[in-house]
Amino acid sequence: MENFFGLEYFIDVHKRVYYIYIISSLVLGMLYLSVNQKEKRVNLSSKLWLHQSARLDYSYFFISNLIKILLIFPIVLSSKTIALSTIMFLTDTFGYTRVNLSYEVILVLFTSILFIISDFTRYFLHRLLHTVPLLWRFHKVHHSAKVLNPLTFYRVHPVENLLFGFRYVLSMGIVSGVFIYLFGSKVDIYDVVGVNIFVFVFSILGSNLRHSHIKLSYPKVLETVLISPYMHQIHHSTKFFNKNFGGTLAIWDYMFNTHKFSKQVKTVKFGLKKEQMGDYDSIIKLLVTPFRMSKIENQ
Amino acid sequence: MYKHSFKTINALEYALYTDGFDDRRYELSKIIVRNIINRLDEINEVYVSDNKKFLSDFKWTNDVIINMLIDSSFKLRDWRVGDIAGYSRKSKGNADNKKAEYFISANSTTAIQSILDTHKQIMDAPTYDFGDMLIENGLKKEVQLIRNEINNSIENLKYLKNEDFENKEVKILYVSLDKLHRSYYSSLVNALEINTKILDADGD
Repeated sequence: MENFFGLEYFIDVHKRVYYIYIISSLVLGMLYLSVNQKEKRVNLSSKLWLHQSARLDYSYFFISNLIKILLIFPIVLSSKTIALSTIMFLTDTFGYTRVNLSYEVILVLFTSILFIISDFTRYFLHRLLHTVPLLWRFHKVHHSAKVLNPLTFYRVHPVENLLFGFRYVLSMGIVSGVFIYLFGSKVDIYDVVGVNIFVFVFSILGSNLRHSHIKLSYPKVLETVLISPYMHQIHHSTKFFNKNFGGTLAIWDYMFNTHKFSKQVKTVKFGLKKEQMGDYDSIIKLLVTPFRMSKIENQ
Repeated sequence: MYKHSFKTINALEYALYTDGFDDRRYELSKIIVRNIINRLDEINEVYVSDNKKFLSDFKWTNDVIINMLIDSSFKLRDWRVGDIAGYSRKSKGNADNKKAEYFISANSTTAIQSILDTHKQIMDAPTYDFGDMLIENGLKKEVQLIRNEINNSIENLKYLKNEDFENKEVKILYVSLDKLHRSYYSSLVNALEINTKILDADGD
């Protein structure tokens, strides 16, 4: 039953809001605030956490979970199906083959390549959501958040859920299929409690601060490789929607010229243009507005 | 060793079944048979002497057997049936009985039967087998599918009449061998649990 209310998200290690990730983000946030006392007032203010936009995030989280269970998940193919199709395609095209490498090498290769490909497709789809006008209509729902909190991560239109679902099964399925084709049953992932080690480390290092007002940034060198929480907040800033599309790695933004260092942006203002915000102030509007947006100009 | 023993069997076939069989060929055949026996004895010795070592690392043993079954099912499907009957990608629709593995002696069907019987012994034996072990590891549905496809393939061997791969009915056998090959991979994909090891599929 808890599935229908989205409560299992907090005890599921595969979810962004898994309680351990929330706790680690809280600890990091507190450490940050102890050094940056001036920001304490804003971050601990009830105005922030009970802001109309935040309250909408909380209620939308439960509703969107229901939509995902009832409409999205049954549609999205299993990555196992994609993996099997990939294996059969490769076998039919190139014949049967086995590459002989040690378990350890295959483990490291599979874990890292899966993570890199997954992160790249995430970057690519995210960028498309901003650059293709039709997709931007749906992604605007996410950017309509006036204030950020960890549940803003789930303020996503079901159509976007569907697209990310397809991205996920395609990238997972194809990479797994190629590896199984090459290495057979030797394929395995280095995981921590069932999650890819890279994803686990990233998640525990404050992934929930991406959607928050904690302006945690990394040294410049590190920000060419990893997206810091503040870099993602810059992406949510009205002036820089077209920057920092990356999920975990910043290298894609760096390579494709969409990168913005934390040091380059002093202030951020979230949400959409003032005149558009009224179209995203209720659950119904979040769901319906993208379909009747022809009258609204693309931002 | 496995690969070369087959080559030797082909050599024996050539010596015994082509025209011009004489005393010299008879002597040569005896040498080839001795070689085959020696090789099989060597294989047997390794199985017996290294049996405990082989079974000591469960994952490795499991991998070796699954990879072997997948490899064998691919060769059955493509090399031993598809390429000859014209159903594999490589053959491009050109059926040619002369490409059969034991065309000279007309023993290709027997070879396919033996290989399928071996699959059955491993996956669907009357006593505890590899299939039962996989079922204990949560792959009941997949093993049932594999067992069905092995039995279907054995049943569909009847469509390969008189070593005639050019007969259109052979496609029924090819399709069941294809399903068998896929079912092995399917069990492998399910066993690896690749679906669950990355964070949720939402946006950002």
